[in-house]
Amino acid sequence: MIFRCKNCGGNIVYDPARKAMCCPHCDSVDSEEAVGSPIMNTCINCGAPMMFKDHTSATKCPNCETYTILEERVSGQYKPDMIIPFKISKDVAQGMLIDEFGKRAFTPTGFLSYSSISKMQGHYVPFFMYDYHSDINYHAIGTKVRTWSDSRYNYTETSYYDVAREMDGDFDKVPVDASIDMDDGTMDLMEPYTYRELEEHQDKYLSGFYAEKYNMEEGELAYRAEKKVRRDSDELLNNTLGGYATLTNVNKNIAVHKRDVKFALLPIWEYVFNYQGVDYKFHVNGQTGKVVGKTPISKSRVLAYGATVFGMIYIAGMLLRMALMAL
Amino acid sequence: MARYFKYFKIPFIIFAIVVIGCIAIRISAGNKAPVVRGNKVTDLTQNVFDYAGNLTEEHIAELESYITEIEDQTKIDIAIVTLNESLEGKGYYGGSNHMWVNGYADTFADVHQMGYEMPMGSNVVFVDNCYREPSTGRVDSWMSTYGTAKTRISEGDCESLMDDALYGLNDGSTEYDYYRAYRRVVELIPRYASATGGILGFLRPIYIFAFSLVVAAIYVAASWRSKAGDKTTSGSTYLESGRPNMRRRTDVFLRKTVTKVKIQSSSGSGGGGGHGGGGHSR
Ligand SMILES: [Zn+2]
Ligand SMILES: [Zn+2]
Repeated sequence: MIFRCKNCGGNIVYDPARKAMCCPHCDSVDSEEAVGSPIMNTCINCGAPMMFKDHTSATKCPNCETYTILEERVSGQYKPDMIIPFKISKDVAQGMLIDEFGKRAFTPTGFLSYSSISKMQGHYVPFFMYDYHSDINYHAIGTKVRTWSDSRYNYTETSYYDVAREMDGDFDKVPVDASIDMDDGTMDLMEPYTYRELEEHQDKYLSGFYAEKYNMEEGELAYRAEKKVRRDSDELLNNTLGGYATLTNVNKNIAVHKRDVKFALLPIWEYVFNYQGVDYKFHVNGQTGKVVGKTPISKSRVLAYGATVFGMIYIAGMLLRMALMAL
Repeated sequence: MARYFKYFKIPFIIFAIVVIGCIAIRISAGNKAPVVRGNKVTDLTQNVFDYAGNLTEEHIAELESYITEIEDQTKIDIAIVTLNESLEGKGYYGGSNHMWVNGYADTFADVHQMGYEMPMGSNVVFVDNCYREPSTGRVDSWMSTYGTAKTRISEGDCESLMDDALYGLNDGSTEYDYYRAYRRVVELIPRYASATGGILGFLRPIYIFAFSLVVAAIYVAASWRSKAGDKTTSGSTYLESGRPNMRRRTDVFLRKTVTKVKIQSSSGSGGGGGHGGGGHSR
């Protein structure tokens, strides 16, 4: 399916800045009509052959650059329960990358050049959102220590306490990416999202972006959500254990169980920079603007800049010496 | 390249100011009439007079050429005299060994009409009398200054210069190395004699090199950061109500124990007035 402009026939895309379907060709707003096609692997607009990767649900025709959505991969079992539409447009995301990395000295030439950075792509990444209930039971012997001294002795007073905690909590929408291509650690760092802006899924949000259906079943990924819930539970528990010097005979039990799972698409800008044969990936949260990535280090730049600093100080020092000796 | 210049814009501006400033100082200093060797009267043809026999022939030769170099750098006539004799009753003013050595040094400069630019001009005479004076048990040295050397090198400068240079000679644990000590005396003269005092001592090329290297290394280390994005979720991020439901939170006091340790008083120190002290026997 593609979204075609009723006024000019151009490809209509979702514009995050205007929060509307816009025609980049004639500037019409909300003038889209969905055009479907019975033939897969062919561009609806130009008829050129198209290759869809296994999990792709939205992509761009390499010939006419029309954004195409595969209906069968966003419907039925693959229909997302929720979506956060892109809120940050491409130029804003580029600006965020420049803000983050622009002042770093050793990034290679071209890393933030317009021709390179404009290749940034918007991806709706498939996520499972898990609801968990967590029960925390804790029992330990805690000590608190107080010391003081008089003229002759140092005193150490150790107080022993019976420490007990029983607490529970409902964790909602713990996100786990269901995309093989996306690095798990990076996707975890994209959190948190603002869930207030979760919406019911509409296909039109995908026009102008890339998207995938979930690559794996939620059951296969639940362990990652459970790990996060256990980690968070542990943190919540530790927050209540301040003030103790030691905690011994610890009896800790965190029981978690899954309550619900939803499938959602979340917006992430991806910029791939190839440097000396290695792809460096940078991600910008398409809703919050959080930037995650690691730049390559240009050895020639380290050498040139380091030598400049060295040279300037050395020459300045020697000149100062020369001037002082003349006095 | 454009990025390079943009990145170093401010450092380059500061650098340019320093360079221009230094060159300006150099030129303005260079415009003063140069001081040249102009003493045709002195009868001295050497700089080192090793009457005590502290130095080898090679060391004397090395010291001679080094002194000539320093003389041209500082525009100060320099002489080193070593003695190993009592100067008592030799006609020098004063009632103690160090005053006699002082007198010897002053007289030496006058008698030989020392001076770099003219007779009785800028000169430094360093006298090291290795004779151990029985009444004090000490060996005395003196550094006599005259002309611009007198205004440039203060009495305090002379003392700290000799403290620095002769340190090794006072230290009984090391072998006496007169050559090193005397060479150090000569080496330190331009540092104290320069208008900028001891600063030049820190502006030695090797120090400048090392300092530049360290700053460049710090700069590189500080600019190395290539990562972005830290974990920004907490334990309660996904918690429905923002906080857990606390069903039980008890901290029941069981018992307490107190231990006391006697304070170790450090021997000898503290403890108000009166007598202190200690003994030793074996
Ligand atoms: Zn149009
Ligand atoms: Zn096409």
